[in-house]
Amino acid sequence: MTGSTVMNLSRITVRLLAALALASSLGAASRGQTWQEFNGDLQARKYSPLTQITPANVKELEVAWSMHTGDVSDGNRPVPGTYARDMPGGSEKAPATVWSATPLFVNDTLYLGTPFYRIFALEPDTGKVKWTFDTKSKIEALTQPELKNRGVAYWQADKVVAGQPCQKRVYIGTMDARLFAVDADTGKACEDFGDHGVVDINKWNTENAKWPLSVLQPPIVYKDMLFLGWAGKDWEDAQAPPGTLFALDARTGARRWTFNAIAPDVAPRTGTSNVWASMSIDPQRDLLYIPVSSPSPNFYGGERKNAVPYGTSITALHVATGEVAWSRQLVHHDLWDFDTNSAPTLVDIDKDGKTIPALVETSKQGFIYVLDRTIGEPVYPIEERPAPPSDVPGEQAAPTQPYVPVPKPVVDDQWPGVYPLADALSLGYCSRTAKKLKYAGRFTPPSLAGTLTYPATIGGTEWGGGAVDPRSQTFVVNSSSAVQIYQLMTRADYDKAKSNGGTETAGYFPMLGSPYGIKLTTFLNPLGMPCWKPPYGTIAAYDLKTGNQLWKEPFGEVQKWGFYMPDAWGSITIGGPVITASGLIFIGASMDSRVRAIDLKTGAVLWKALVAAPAVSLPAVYSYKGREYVAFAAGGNSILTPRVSDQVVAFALPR
Amino acid sequence: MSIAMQTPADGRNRPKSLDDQAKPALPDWRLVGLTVVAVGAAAGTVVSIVDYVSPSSGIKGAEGAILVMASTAILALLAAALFRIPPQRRILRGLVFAAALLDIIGSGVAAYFLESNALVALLAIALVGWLIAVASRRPVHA
Repeated sequence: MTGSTVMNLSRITVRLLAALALASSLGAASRGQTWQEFNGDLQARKYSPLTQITPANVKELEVAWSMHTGDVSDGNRPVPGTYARDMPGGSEKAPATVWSATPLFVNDTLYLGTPFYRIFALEPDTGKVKWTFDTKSKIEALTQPELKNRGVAYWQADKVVAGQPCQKRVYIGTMDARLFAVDADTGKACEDFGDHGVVDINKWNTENAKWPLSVLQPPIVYKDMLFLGWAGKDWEDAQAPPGTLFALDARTGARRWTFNAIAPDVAPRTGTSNVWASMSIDPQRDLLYIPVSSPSPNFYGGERKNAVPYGTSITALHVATGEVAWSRQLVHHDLWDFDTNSAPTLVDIDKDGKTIPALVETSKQGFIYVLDRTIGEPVYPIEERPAPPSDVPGEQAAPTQPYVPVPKPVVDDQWPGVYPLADALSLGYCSRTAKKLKYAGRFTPPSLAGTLTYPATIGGTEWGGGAVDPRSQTFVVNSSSAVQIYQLMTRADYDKAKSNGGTETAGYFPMLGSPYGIKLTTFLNPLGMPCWKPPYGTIAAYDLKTGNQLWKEPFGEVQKWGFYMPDAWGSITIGGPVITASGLIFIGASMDSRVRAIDLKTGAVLWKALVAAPAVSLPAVYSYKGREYVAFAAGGNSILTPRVSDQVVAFALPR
Repeated sequence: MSIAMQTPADGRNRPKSLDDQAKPALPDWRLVGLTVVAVGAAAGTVVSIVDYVSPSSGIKGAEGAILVMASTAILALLAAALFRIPPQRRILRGLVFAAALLDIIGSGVAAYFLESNALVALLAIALVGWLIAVASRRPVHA
């Protein structure tokens, strides 16, 4: 080999390396422009590297486009069209819709699932419909009280074969327990997936099969596999389907493995401990992190004492086999329906001179758990503290519960106390009621006399979880401060109350098969005003390197009869934040139907806009043809307000 | 009702003095004030209706929007009544003026909590009109 040949080869090598580097960086940029997963990425960081919209120019944001899917019901009237196909004559009222879909931006398309279980593929810069796919599923509230959907999932083959269908796919689940796969380019069903494009998940519902395994949360997609949980009927039965999680082949729908959170010998006595929320994956370690909910019956555990170690846990599974890598129970012997309810956020933390591969899990109980995601051990100490006993016959509450002092819990240890204004307006109702209730701090068990519960099942942080800026390792989370009353009722008393008109709406739930039913209500005065002191909702930022809280602000506004209450009251929230590299937080979530941009450094609201209903979803941040968009599905949730909608709205800077 | 056809708001058809005849007539500030109240209230009713039906108002279909629709309409009626109530009926006039003030304040507070800025502005204008009407017990001449 001559010297010149060597020189030439060196030049070629350098050019090749440069080209590879360029391709790699372009690829990274391309990935950064998408919002491909429910939580933005597999690690559930809810983070976008985009920087076009900044704290300086965010005030200029305007509606780039808005569209309505038509798939909406307020629960008060028949819905023509889609719903009418199930109800001849369209005379039946359709259940209300709860729409919490994260729009996915990938394949130059914005994909959404709807609560009527249709898929919409939209042009990302105009909102024009490219195609729709109708699952023609039953529009009935089979398990949940409303029609719910949290969107779709996306998969594409490693090597896309041109001209072949279904090399890119969109998946949607349905209330009636089916999972559909559709060609992402055409909207046609993928014939090779399950039975002509659909897998009946309910065929694996073989134990205590009292209701279908509703697929409301889209699966998480990784390495040609789909990881799929399900949602059930809350607070209805003591014995219910056990918490199964399925791994499916993304191409065929064949089941690869099943994880069951409940041991076979215990399953006849209990159920659930299922995974109804989103999940996250560590691609470096091939670990799947699952938030496991509480076992049934949710508020009485006399028949399941210490029997469900995976209940209310964060559990890591090996993606290839479904075997447990580690599991950490967050609430022992859960009696409060403290489901672990969001995907843990995976982030590397620089602490004490070391880089710790961590996960951050938010919770209904208001704690933020920071764990080493390789072994499940705490990064910040978790203490076992004594917990109040139960006085309910047959019940034995756990003597201790895990307590997390750092990072500071999102809700205080003690309930906020009676709000004088609410008390005065109700002529002392709030204080009189509070005196009658049992309360001994966190984890006071439900009682026959009625327990004041704080935080409670709708408190702390909901399924939106938190978001992280991986560069500054700042974690942001919105949370709710809600006080509820848990009152167990003997079966005879419960039946009597039901026969006297006690309804689910009034808070009566049977927990059939257990000795008790429950009446669960939010602590409001007769005017509908919360009896506890505001703020009702906050948003906070934490430095994960130290565990310190950086700031905490009331978030959102309460709106009643159209009147907005003071900013300092905040709002109960459902949905979560996302963070951009330019230092902005985008979030809907509040009951005032507004979406906001917040300064990551200070917590100050820099911009807000009105949308058609509360955006109880995660927004998607994406870039298309050089323009950055922030897209929200504004669907509403009856927990917040009756206002519902089918609006998708994208904001961008003026051209 | 035509404001131009009204006698001076104090109702006294006093003969014009030579001095009056020598100068051009200046506006009756009480009538001007009441007109501002009436127009502000009527415009407030229109804004409330728009808020009630408009998705971009944030209070579409809300009970609070109905409330301010009614209260601003009532304010317009009160202003109209003040044009017609003769000055001799002082107690009645005083009561109606007081009711109008309460209406303006109540509607303004409601509009503030409804975050309807246009309505707040119109009620502020109506308040100014009310103040002018109250402050001008008789036609003012230069």
